[in-house]
Amino acid sequence: MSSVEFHKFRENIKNINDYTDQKEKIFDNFIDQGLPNKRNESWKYFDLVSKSKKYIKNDISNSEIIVEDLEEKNIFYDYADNNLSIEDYFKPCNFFKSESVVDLNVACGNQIKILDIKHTQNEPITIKIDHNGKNISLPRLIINIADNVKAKINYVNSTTNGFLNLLVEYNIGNKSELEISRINSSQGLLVETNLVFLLNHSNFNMKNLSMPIESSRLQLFSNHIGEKSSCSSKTISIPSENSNDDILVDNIFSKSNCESVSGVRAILDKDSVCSFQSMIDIHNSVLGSKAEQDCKGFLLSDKAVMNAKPQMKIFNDDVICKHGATIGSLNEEEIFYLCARGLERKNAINLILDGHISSYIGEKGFLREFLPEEYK
Amino acid sequence: MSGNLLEINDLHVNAGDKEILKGLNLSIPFNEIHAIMGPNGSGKSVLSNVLSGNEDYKVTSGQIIFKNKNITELKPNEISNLGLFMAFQYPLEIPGVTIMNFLKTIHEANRRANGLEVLGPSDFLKYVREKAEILGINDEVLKRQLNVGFSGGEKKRNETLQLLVLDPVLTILDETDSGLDVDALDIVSDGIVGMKNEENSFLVITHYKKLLDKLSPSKVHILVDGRIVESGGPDLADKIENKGFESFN
Repeated sequence: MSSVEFHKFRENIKNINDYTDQKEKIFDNFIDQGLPNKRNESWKYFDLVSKSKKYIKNDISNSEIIVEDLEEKNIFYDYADNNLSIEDYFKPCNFFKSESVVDLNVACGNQIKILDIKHTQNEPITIKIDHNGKNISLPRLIINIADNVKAKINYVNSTTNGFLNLLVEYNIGNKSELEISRINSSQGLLVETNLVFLLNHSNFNMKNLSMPIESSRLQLFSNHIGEKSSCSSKTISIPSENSNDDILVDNIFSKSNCESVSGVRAILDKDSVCSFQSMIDIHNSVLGSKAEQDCKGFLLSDKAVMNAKPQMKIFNDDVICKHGATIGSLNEEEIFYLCARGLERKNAINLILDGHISSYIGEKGFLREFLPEEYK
Repeated sequence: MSGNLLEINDLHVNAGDKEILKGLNLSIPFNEIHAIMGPNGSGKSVLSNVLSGNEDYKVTSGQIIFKNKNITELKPNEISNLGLFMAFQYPLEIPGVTIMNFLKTIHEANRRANGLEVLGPSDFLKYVREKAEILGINDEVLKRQLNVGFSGGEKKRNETLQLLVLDPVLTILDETDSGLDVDALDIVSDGIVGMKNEENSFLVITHYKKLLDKLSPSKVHILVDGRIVESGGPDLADKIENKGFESFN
């Protein structure tokens, strides 16, 4: 796609009056790079350029972002009500240096919402995001968890149309825990970048049920900037027919004694595609790290595809690290074992797949409500 | 009950192009325990798989009559729901499926297939706990994933739990004793002996006499090269123990 088509978005930079010069520079960066495509991305993700083309013709519009079940002391507000410092505003761009979808969001986005969780609440907070239009939407959500706070979020992304380029930033305080149950059932084109900053003894745990109907990409970057922090991201990927589900997880260990687990369990039928790329990045002076990354994919048709690329950059010997990938069709011996206990073949297959799902999201809970009927 | 629960007539079975069972005949009446012994590669496990409907093996001629019904062409689930249970030599691991969920699923499938009402959650829990107690299996084990990370003995014990829960009329024990320590062998064999009644029977496939000593079979059959070459009483197992299979070749 020619970057010329994006030039009209420069107008949006002025919609939020702050930091205009810096945003212009970031937008210039974006114009230089354009959206990622097969050529410059050099891996097996879907081609964002061609998929997004029809949505770039129109203006940028807002998405609907609803937060429910928030207890009194925790607050949700617009950026306009309480401006961010320049450092906080450009934190994602400074972190990435060059990530064009993030640059586009930060430079041109005019919908910034902030959720401050200052007190532990026992009931989960619900966040619903929907974009319904034939255009692009660039919302940014900043979730701040204060020190010593525990919170759960049930997060539903159900984009019904258009191209949603969403940036979510999680700042997890010292000794705090955040548990996310994420459902992605988007019918539009979705690129969601999650940027997680973990302080000392903090914990981020995401269970993700990804069932895109169009194509979707989740990018999760966890930054262990505090010692003894941990991050877990486990995705069940069940993309629809003719749909791509791209999952990228990057665990960056800047401090010692941190842990990460990242993985995907995919069920792929017809011509659906799941691509999982995971990185464990352990810096030179960092000790006592533990990291796991793995994926397992069931291919239910000859046309289904799973791509897996586990990567490690480890510059220290004091590390325990595991990685693995298993991709294939269902095991006929397992099916026979279950059929020999009285289950019809179809039910035996569903039980195996249900086990595959349950190993990540459990036999009960919020995410199971969204599963296709055969796996409930 | 009178008559034969299982009748196998002149059964020929191929695995790929190779004939494994070459005219096997076997009858098992109700309320009896029969044992099959044989050297490696004689076709013992193929027989148990064919009886369970495994489509990897092709029946080229002969027939299998179970409960007066020809089951030669039936699917594994249909055979299972008629009341035939095979305890696997190598039970499969099913990640993510808890034993309790699995037992509930197969018990419900069996009840529905036989037109019986499905037990409610609390009745089923009570039913499973009763069966598990016989085998010394506690609630924590029931929460584990099916056979995942289990030792050989734990897997066999879990197979026996499934057997007790489904309460079949014919049970095939395919080398259930392999991998069991002495105590586990006692628990499993006691469980099986406790199940035996006038309406069921057992076919025990084994290499070892030890399990047969505990189960006291009515008949022992010697399977060599795809055929039953001799049948007799429990003393036949003693003969094998002392002299091996050489004299039957």
